[in-house]
Amino acid sequence: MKKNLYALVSLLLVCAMVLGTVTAATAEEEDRPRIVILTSINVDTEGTDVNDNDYINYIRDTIGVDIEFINDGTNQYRQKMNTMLASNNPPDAFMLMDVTQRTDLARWAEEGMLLPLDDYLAEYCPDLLASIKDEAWEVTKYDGKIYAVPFQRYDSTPYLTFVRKDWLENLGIDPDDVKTIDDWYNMLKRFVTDDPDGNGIDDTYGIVSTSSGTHLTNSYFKDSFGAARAQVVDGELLPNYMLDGYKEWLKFMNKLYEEKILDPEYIVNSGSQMWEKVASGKYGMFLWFWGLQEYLSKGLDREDLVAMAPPLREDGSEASYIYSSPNRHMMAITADCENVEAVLKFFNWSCTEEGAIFLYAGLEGKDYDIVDGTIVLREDRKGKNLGWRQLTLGVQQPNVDQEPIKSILAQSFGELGMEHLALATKYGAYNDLDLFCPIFEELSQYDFDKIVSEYTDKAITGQVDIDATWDEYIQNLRQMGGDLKIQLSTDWYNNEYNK
Amino acid sequence: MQARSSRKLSLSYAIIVAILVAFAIVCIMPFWYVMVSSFSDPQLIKEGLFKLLPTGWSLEAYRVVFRDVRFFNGLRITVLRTVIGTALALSVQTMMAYALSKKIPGRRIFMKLVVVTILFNGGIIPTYLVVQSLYLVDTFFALILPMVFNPWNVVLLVSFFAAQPQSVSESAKLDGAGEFTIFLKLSVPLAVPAIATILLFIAVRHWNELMDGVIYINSSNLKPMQVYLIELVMRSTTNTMIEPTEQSLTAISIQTAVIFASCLPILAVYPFLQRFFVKGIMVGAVKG
Repeated sequence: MKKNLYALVSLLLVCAMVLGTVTAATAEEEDRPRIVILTSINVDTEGTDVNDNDYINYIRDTIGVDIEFINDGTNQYRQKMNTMLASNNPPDAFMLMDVTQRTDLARWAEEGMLLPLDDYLAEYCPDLLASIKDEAWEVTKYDGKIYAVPFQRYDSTPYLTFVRKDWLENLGIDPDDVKTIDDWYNMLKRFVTDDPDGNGIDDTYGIVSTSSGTHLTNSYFKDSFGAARAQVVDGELLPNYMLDGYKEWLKFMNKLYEEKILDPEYIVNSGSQMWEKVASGKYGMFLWFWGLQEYLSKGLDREDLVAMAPPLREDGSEASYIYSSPNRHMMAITADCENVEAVLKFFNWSCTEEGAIFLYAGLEGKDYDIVDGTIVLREDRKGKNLGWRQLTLGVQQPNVDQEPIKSILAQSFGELGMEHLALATKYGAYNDLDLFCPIFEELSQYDFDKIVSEYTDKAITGQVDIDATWDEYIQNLRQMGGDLKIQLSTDWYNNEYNK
Repeated sequence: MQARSSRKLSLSYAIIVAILVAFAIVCIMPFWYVMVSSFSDPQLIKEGLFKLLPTGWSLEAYRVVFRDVRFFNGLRITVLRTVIGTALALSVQTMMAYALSKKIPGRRIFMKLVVVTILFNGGIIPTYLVVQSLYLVDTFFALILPMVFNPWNVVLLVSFFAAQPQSVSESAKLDGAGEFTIFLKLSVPLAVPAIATILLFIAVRHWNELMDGVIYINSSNLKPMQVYLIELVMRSTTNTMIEPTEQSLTAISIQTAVIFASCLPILAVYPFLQRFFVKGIMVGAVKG
């Protein structure tokens, strides 16, 4: 009995200790306006709390707003967001992210949970409006009104094709002469047949890729065949994967696969296997994000690659590398928010020069020093914590081609890295009509991506005869919700562009 | 003796052993992979050079993990919730099961209510609203109180208590023992295998539980270990997406180091309780 009593007393003591910790931690109160933001800061924060570190404390003191994050860095963020918004105590602002962000925005806006921001932006956010481009705002609209502030990537179109410089030199190919699809095909064919690494063995390939993640194999050359963007054909707005150009692109990719120009194992390559193959020196070309993080982490040199423009279209016009959206995520303000001005002041500050320097350089004395009036990043802080500061701010100044931001970034990525960033921006574009087309609730039950990706993989790897099965594929898509999608998006297009 | 040695040599015995060894390897391999990766040189792991033994022995990942204040904070919360939560849940569930095993008025109704909660539950958002209206959101007790009652465990224990001979408690009553004394001094000691099993169930569930930490907890200093772990595993994806720069230490090294470090305490509990574990489950199952 005595033993049990001791156990009970110990239990109560531990409970009291825990309660003490909890109440002490939440006792801070200050006079400045307080805002609560639900977010997902899931990057390395150097072991510190997202609510208590040099960066967030600097922002609080600079703009005079007491910002508090409810942070969920898990893959359950959407569940957390749904639960908090359904409760009677929603945060002041929250992050909408991942592929469902536009659907979620439409749903919450429809239910009156979000604040329309048009009037507020004009009043409180001059820097935001001046910095973020129209197409980024366009994606945050529902029923014609802006319901969120977009986090526009500074590399809003990040894809670029890289070719081995030494192979081009060995084969005497001038990259400036490689312009049309035929030029590209001839170059890649020579990578396979002309022993570009000079070892006397037939062991080289043209393209290395992977089907994991964003399946970048499906981005090679697509726009050069007119197969990357939705188009109006015979009065119907057709998605890119139903166009004749898509069929031609599939046949071209199948040809590359059959002739072993495209790595025959691309469909089973994992991301890390792809980079092992790049490092093996047996593959001539790959498409990737301009930052080349994985490539550089293999100890390889950016200088050994040539960044190329995509092949011209058949009619001689310039093609692009198509990326999904200019925005990584969006920050919405809830209808119950009592400090709209403070939230927008915070977001707007991100796009001021002071905010941009904080974002790209960090803090003076911690991440950089001022030398002769110039910002000089400390050697061990170059490129460090950019993601952390980006997510802390929620919104960023995306225009990095202006000083002093340009010089700051150049210190992290080098001059060539900055050139690649500029090329990625120059050669990049979006599937505009698809991007701006609203989300239709009626289509939520259909999975077009699954049908398209299955057919695409089979067509490229030669498991189906493209000419013989194309009509069946189109018919199948139309029956599985494609007709409804075309009808809804065509109506939207006619309303928006053909009034 | 002869029979035993012939059994040892028989083909079917060898096949069974081989199958069991294969299953054991399948179970152990993921854990082995995590352990070996965490002790290997991060650069070699990044390059995909994984072997059965650590390549280029390194404790760098552990240095990074043990420097992170959130690791110890998460561990502290998880240990506390496991200890307090298990003690509380075990007390409530054992007492409830004991009461329901007796012929008390309304027993059948209470049993039905218990079974109903096995078949139906409120779902995440209604449960959140209940927790919120009890002012438990963002408190340590949001991790404890919703898990105090578990109908499965109660049903298991009820059948165990009901199987105890009625004569034992009757003779104790004749000797002047009250209901609580009978429960504490007779019924609980007799039910140790079942209680140890339930204890393990509750403790492991508390240790592994992720969603309550995600949904009910907002403050970083109250987040349990599992939330920290999943954040860490998700981190590499976000870093690639948002910060195209070279990382000094590969994510897989840190992830494996944390996973290994966080598995050890709960694994250490198993050997002490395992002997009760199988027995408890079997007895409950047969007599239920």
